[in-house]
Parts: sequence; C-alpha cells; structure tokens
Amino acid sequence: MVGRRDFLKMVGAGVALAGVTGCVTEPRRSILPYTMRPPEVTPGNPLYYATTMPLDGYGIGLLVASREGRPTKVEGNPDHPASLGAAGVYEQASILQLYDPNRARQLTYQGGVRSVRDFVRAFGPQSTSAFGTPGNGEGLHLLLEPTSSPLTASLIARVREAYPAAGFTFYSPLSSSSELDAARNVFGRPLQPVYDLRAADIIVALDADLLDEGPFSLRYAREFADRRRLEEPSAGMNRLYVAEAGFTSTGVLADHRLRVRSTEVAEVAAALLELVRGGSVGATEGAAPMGGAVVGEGRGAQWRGNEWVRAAARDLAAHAGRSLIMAGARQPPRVHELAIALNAILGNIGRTIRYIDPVLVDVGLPTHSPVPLVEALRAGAVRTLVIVGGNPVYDMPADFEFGELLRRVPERVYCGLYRNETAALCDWVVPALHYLESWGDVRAWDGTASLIQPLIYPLYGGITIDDLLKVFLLEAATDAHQLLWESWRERTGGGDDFDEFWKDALRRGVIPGTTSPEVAVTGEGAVVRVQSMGGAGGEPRAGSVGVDRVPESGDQQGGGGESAKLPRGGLVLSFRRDPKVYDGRFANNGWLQELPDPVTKQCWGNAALLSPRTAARLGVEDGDLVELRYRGGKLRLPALHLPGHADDEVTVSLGYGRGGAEEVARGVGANAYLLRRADAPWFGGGLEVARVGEARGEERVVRTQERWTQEGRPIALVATLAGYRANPDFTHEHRGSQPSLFERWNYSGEQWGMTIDLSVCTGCSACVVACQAENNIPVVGREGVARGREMHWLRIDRYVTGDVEEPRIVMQPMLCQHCEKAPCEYVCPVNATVHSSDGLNEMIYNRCVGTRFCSNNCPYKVRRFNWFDYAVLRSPEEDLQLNPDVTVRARGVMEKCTYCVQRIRRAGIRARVEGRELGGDEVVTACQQACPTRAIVFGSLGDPESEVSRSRRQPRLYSVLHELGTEPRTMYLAKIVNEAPATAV
Amino acid sequence: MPALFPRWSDTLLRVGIVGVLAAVLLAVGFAMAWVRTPQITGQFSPLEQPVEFDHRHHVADDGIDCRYCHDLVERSPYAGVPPTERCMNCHNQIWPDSPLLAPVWASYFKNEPIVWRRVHQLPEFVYFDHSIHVNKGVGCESCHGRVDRMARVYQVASLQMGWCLDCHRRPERVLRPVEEITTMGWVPSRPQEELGRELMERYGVRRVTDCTACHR
Repeated sequence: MVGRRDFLKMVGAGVALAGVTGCVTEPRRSILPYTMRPPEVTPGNPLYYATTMPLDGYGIGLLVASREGRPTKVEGNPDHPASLGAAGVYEQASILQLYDPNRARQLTYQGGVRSVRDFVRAFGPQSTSAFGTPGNGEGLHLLLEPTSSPLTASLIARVREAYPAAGFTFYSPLSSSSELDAARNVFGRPLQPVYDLRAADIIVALDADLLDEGPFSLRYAREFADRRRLEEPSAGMNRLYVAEAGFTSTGVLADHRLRVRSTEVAEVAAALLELVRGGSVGATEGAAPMGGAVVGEGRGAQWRGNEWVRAAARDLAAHAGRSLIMAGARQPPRVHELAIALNAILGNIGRTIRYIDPVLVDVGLPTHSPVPLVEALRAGAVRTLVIVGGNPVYDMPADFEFGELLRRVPERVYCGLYRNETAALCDWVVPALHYLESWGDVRAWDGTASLIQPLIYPLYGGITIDDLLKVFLLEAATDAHQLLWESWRERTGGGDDFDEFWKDALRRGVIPGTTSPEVAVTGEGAVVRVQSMGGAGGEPRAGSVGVDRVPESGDQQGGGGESAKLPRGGLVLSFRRDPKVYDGRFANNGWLQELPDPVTKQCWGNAALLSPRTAARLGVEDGDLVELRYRGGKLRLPALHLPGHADDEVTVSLGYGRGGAEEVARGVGANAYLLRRADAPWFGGGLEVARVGEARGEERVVRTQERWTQEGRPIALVATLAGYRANPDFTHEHRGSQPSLFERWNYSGEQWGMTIDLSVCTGCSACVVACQAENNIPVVGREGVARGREMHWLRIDRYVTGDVEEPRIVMQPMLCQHCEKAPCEYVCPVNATVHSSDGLNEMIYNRCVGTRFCSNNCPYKVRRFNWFDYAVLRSPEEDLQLNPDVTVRARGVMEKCTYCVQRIRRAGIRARVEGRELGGDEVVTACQQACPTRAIVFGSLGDPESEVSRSRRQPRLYSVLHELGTEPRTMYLAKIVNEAPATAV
Repeated sequence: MPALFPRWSDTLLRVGIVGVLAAVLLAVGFAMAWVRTPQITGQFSPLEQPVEFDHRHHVADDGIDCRYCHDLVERSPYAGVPPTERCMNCHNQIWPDSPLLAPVWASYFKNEPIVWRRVHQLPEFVYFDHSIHVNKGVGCESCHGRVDRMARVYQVASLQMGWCLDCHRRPERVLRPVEEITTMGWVPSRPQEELGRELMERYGVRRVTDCTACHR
C-alpha cells in the first residue's frame, strides 16, 4: 500500500520531474547503410511501382510508393483503364491491411505449427490425402474467389485435367450474376457491358451505384464528372436519374432521384420501357398521365404516371443514342433485361455501351453459384474441401448453414489472409500473401490484363493461389516470378523482344493489346431485334426480340423467390455492400472502420437504415435498438433515420459482426449475413421490426455528424442549372474582399490554393483515407469517435437540402481552409500556427503546447487535438506504413491539414535543384490524387494558367463563412443540379 | 514608539529583492547558456565508430571527393552513408588484409550493414534536405567543418535552430560557387558578402524562413 504521504511525495516528484522531460537529450541514433544498394534506390526519395489490386476478381491499376523497401502509399495508375489515376477507399486502405498485425502468420494443422513442406507432403506428390491421389479427384472440391487471372485460369484448367472429378466453386458474397444472365437471355450468350459515360447525355441508374460500386466505378465516376464540370454557365451538362431505396454516392449526384423500394425498381423499369417504347412520351407532354399506356393495370400504370418516370422517359426519347440505362447488380436479371431493351430501343448499344465477353474464369457457369457445392456437402460427397480466400463460414447465406456443413467434411483446408471464422473450422490453415507481396496477373472489367508485382518481401510468409494450385498439380514449387514470366512468355509467343515487353508491362502497369474486343450483338447469335428510335444503329436485327419477352409489370419479383412477392405494405429487408468494409474483408482495417459512412456518417458499426416516415409508423426513434425478424432469423442492431430512404424498406450493411481472430473487427456492428437467404440475396419482403429499447454502450450508433441540415445558413450552396444560367453571379455575396483591421500579408513565390467542385463530389471518401495514409493520421477507435476526438484532417460534411421526404444531399469536403486572416493564428500564445510566404497556414507541432485556443477559434472546426499518444498504440508492423516525410505527432499537440506541405516542399526542392520554377500544377495533394471525379483542384494561384487559377474564374466560386472575413485559400464551386425543365410543371 | 525594524533593514529588503530577481534571471540565463554548450549540443566530441575510418587520410591524403562516398548529396535529402560495396571498390585491392577493415569485410560477406553511430542528429520533427543546400552553394565545410582534419568525425555546428536561421536569414555569408562545394579550406576571392549576394542572384537563393521549410 502507498500511504497518503508517500502518494503526495510521488505526485509532487512527478510534477516536478515532468518539467524536466524536455531536457533529456535524445539517445544517439544509428545509420545502417545498405551493404549493396540496389541501383534504382535513392535513400530518401520514394520510388513508385505499378501493380494491380484484385478485388472480387477484377483488377484496379495502382502506383505504390516505396520508401527504402517499405510500401507506404497507394495511388491510382493513370494508364490503367479501371483507375485513370484515382484510387478508392479500398485501394487506399489496402496498404494498412498489408501491415495488419492480425494477419495469419503461421501454417498450422489442427492448431500445430507446420511447414509448407508438410503441406505439400499432405497434398502433393506423396499425398496421403482423403481424396485419394493419384485418383481422379473424386471428393476434392475447391472453393475459390472469382478470378480473372490468366495464370490462375491456366492452372485451374490443368488441375481440372489432372482431377476431372474435382469440383470447383467461385464465390463472393457481393457478386451477382444478374447482368450476365440477362445478357444470356437476350443475346444468347453471357456478355458484360462496358459503358462510355462520356458519350451519354442522359443516364438512368436503376438501383445502380455506378459511381462508387463495381470494378469500373472509378472510371465511370471520372467519365461522369467530365461531363459535369461546367467551366462556364453556358457549358453543357449530363443529367442523372437515379431510382434507389438507400442513399448511395450515385444518389447524391442524381439530378432526379426516385425514392423507391428495391422490390419496385423492376416496375419502374417496366414503366420506363412502356413509355419509351410507346413512343408517346414526347407527344403526351401535357396530356393525361395515363395517356398512351400500353399495359394498364396495377402499379405499372401508377409508375407510368410518376413524374420521375415520365421525365426520364421524355429525356431518354429526346437523347436516343446519347443516353444510358444501367441496372444495379442487386437487381434481378429481369431488370437488366429491361435495361438492355431500353438501351436497344434507344440505339445506345454500340454508342454508350459496348459488350465484351466475360472476363472472369468460368463466368456464367454453375460453378459461380454455391448451390452445387452446398448440395454436394449435404450429400457428403466432398471429402477434401480447399477454400482459398474469402470467408464462406461468415458470408454464405444463412440458410446454407455452411459452417455446419463444413464441419462434416473430413479434410478442410483454408488459405487466407486472416484466421477468420472459416479458418477456425479448418484443419489446415495456410497464410495467404497480400497482393502487395505477390506476383500475379489480373484483368480489369474491360479485359485489360495487368501484372501484380510485389512491393515487399512477404512479411509473415505465405503462399498465393497459384502456389496452392501448383501443389495440387503435384509439381515442384517454382519461383512465383518465374511462373508468371513463363506463362506470359508462352501466351505472347515469346520472341526476342519479350524481355522488353515484360519490362514495359511491369513499368506501365498495363499489358498493351489485352483489352477485350467489342462483341457485336447485331452479329451472329444475337437475338435482339429492336426497332431503334435513333435511326442509325437501328437496322432490324435477326432473331427473336428481347423486348417482346419483357415481362408484364404485374409479376415483378424482388431478389427472387416466393418471399419477394411481398404483400403490399409489408417491410422489405435490403442488404448492401458496405461503403467501408466491403463484404467484411476489410473489417479489420482501422482506417475503414473509422471512416464515416458517406451518407449516414456512422463509424465503427452498421445500423438498420429506414426512412423517417417508416420509423414514425413503427415507433422507432433515431438511435433505438431494434430487432429485425426476417424469415426465421433475428438480428439486433441500432436504427438510424435516413432521409431519402424508401419507405417500408430497411437497409442493412453487410460485413459487420465479425467473429474471427481479428482484433479490430471483432464485435463491431451486427452480422447481417445471418438474415441473408440464398433465394433472395439482396432484398426480400416479410421483415418485421420490433423496437427493443434505447441503444446503449457498444450498440450505440457513433457518428461524426449528427445533424442533417445547414440550419438555414449558406454553407454548401446549391443551384439549378437554369437558375445558374439566369443568375450566374448568385454566389457573389460569398466571395470577394471583406473590410479588415489586419494588414495584408507580404507574399512571395507560389501561392497555394484549392478549389473543390461540389457538383462532382460523390462523398465516396477516397480523399479521407488518402489523407490518413499520407499524413500519418492515427485511428482513435469507437470510444474516441463517440467523444468527438476523430483525427481526420479532411472530413466530408453532408447536408440535406430541400424536402425532408425527398431530400437532396450535398457533400462538402471540409479541411483546413488556409485562411488569409486565420482566426487560429491570432490566438496562439506560442506562435505554433503561423502564416507562410506562400500562403499556407502552417502548424508547427514542436512549438505547440496544446492550449487548444486555435481549435476553439476556428470557425470551420478542422483542427484536431492529440488527446493521447496514439503513436504508441500503433503496432510495430503498422509503423512500417508511416510516411517518413511527415512528423508523427505526440500527445498534447494540435494538428490539421497542411495542404500536404511535405509534397509542396519536396516538389519545390526538386524544381529548384533542377534550376527551374515550380509549375502551378506540379504539386498534387493526396486528396486530389485519390479523387475519382477530380472534384479537388490544387495548385498555385500565382500562375494564372494553373488549373486552380482557372477554377477561380468560374462564377459559382464562393468561400464558406465568407461573412467572417477569414478569406480562405480553399474555395468551393457551388453545386449545380441539372433538373429537367419539364418537371417543374 | 521605537521602530520595529532598524533602518538598515530597508537596505536589506532592497538588496534582497534585487538579489532574488537577479538569481531568477541568472538561473534562466544559465539554463539558456547551458543548452548551448557543447555538452548539450554534442559539438566537438569525436564519436567512436565500428570502423576506424579516418577522413584525414581519405580526404586530405588521397584527395577523394566527398561525393564519391556521399553520393546522394546532390539528389536526396540524405547525403548517404556509402554502402559497404563502395568501400570494397578500392579495398579489395588496397590494404585488403588490414585488421582495421575486418568489420567491413564481415559486413560485405554477411550482407549485414555496418552500424554507424550518427554524428549529426536532428530532432525527428526537422526535415533537412542536403540536395537543395549543395545545389545552391552551401559547401560541405560550412556545416560539417574541416572534415579533412578529423580522425574521428565530430559535430562542429550547434545544429540548433538559431544556427540554421543565421544562414537562412543571410545566406550571402556562407554561399560559395557550386564548383567549390566539396573544397575544404575554401577562401573567397572577393569579400564574402559581395560574392554571396552575387551567388544568391545567380542560383536564385531565397531567404527561406517559413516554418514548414523544415518542420512538416
């Protein structure tokens, strides 16, 4: 026991000594030079390597920064068709996954550590395995993730040759075959569409999150935004119609958004088709809503009278050949068929859409359904199940009871990144390599192949899927690079210039000439014969007509199955990909867990999202704990009101409630897979919601922005295109000089400034994660966020404007505004935040004593305080990700966005060493680099021709809280919405 | 009534007040002076290194340019401590059997780095970039002193912020032509300030005192 006196003595000594800590000199550090420095490495300067991240089988091209052998930052590869230079949240955060200390580290058999050689002995040439090598593979089944890799494809083909009876299944919980099934129904073969949004004036998205979901979303977002930049009021702009239940990033940018239950999207599509096919849209303008109706019963007629449907149909008809109808992966094939029919009638195919052969291995075959595997498991026909990647025990539909089935398999192998739920039930657990550690290849959505090259030697050991397949081929392990090199050498026919080809493919991150050719759907085998409205491209085509088989709107189904035929007035349960943890595979990633959901702003968990009206009907308050009862399953989670959500539908994110050995993921949120059923994977009727009580403790919703509106203040400005053209200067009250008592700065050199175009910000949050990765921003955890201590230098404020029932959302990235007259600078007692000669508001950590006066005086609330020594909480593995150009802040220090000053200074030094001036567009901040839509523009205002200077000449420029006279260097371009003129009627 | 205190007690009080004030000021002054002593800054104390590398011999006797070993200095923030193979370029022929080179051979054959002790140690919140200084006419000698006369290298400059700012405010006092960057004992042919101002003009040297020039 410590007595009172001793205690006081120690406290006193502690206080006295606390002041002395500043006097301790740092211990002498060491310098460890290379023994043999690789010629390409210049210690101190980053090197970028092109590689590709595979996600659900499709590749996204990346450039990854390597600092003396440590990959530290992911950026998009401008040469890659799926990236165009951008990188989304998953790509950005994948670097943290590489260093995740919870990754599987050891190969084990029933918990005991084994070597790779033991594994090879068990399944390789001298196998004693249950499936009886060297037999025909009877009883062997491989459950893989979807893959497009040419190398893996060839190895799979050879395994099939060696074991003709072996079963294969490709499963990913978020994959959907709707698109391909529809194409097969219409064209007679599975085809996948590649859209060209640059050529589309009118885009109709039917439950399709085209700007933030899917393997080509980064490209689509760029193409979409390129038609919306509106450099001057008279410039043209595309128009986006979105019909959806939840609020996605695409819905945020919609010019017209239809709040519709997921089950009714098919009816909307059918009504659209009726109106467009009827050809009466233009003629019926002003006529009775029902005029020209073809099928006149039930809800179909009601939808045909719907304002949104009529406006969309009118616009489509007027833009034949320059429009695009997209159906979402969540929707059943029926909706995709309707979309194909619409596109065919409008003559869009071949103009805004091209079809290519599917990219994934086996796609369109039954192996892409888990049902055959589950049936074989139930029949006890599988003796050895090899699961590579994924987490089927967690993410298979609950009615399969996959975990139970797996337990009955005599021999179970799992190869994955983590010791997750699936690994826990397997005998053999083989650590897999992260894509940043492995050699491989993968194809993008449009078929373009690219190489995966490692950035670092495997941290914890492990193998790739290719290595694993080699084991089953009874072949000696070869060097992974050698394997890949040989496979491409064979594929390209070798030749003398192969070495050049190989180096070029590695350097550029794209293999030229591999993009899939367009499949002419008018050609042989095509079954579409559509009388196009658009003239050219509308010649009669042979075969039966897809459109004629379009279903009547009476028998629409949801995700399929009986239950989807819901009674009107019942509740629909709808599942969605989580914008942060995807299907659950990124659930152990602190950056993504702490990333606020783009719309709800929820961190660290999921919730039952429902519209305020439905919530009121059910008596569920915002933040209440509810129990979802759905087809025999129950799930408790907090409810969250989401303005703009469809009535009578509840949306739940997949990917939470993990129960594996991953420390970050465990226990966060609720596992919605427990309610998922195989016959209705995305939505279905028959949901009951019961209020349990107020959510408390761990079940409480944690959000970074509780409020929805701007409380009537002009913060995020929105105008219609017509209004903007009529009054281009509508933001003039929010810019320009303000009277001030403070003297002007005496500037020299470049003048840094940023402009953010709210018109194209989807809120996808790639910038937030990019900033976190670049600037060593710590994760504070659920409790920290609950106390408002999140550290993001860049946040995205989300405001609802207009009607609460039919709201519009405007996203506003908010970061340090780098005010000319910065309120923070005036109150800092120690000059820790000062102004630089090139216009930055500098934050000097080593001077900061933590009074927090600056934060209190900042009207934009962008300053963050280090309440704890977060750096100490980071694992040594994660330390490897740190950017060596940015100080790791200590406890008691204020921090904030610096405009990536480390990049500015590095670029400035490089330019001056080369004896030239720094270009106005030469510095690219991390957020700007990541932005898929290029909403963020950064550069020198001193250069009148820089991109940022040009953006400053747009009339819709304004600064936030202009009336305060802070004169921010970060300015915004008001959001312009391109409403269809006729809908004003 | 007699005075409670004698008259001299006033004097005592005055002297006492002055004394206490002086003591406080002295204490602060002493502390400020103390942190500037080589004791704290680490100046002038040669460090023992794992290899008895003698700069006197290599620079003065052999006339090897600084950049032969510190080859990154013109293009990286770091001057670069040479990789072991750089030593071997010469020493596989010259003095290969010298016991002084044993640690170098060991490093080379085991592929393990030589663990040098850092002589010039900046705090972690300071980002110094060699390339910009060397390319704008700040000689090695200006900061590192006469390395050609050092057996074991020691720190010459205080490396304190005031020392940095002396130059950053008035670069003309140290600038030299870039051709003379590695010259030891360089003497300006003209008055330094005059030459410095001309070089500032020629190389586009600015007086950089923004905090983020070094603190990021």
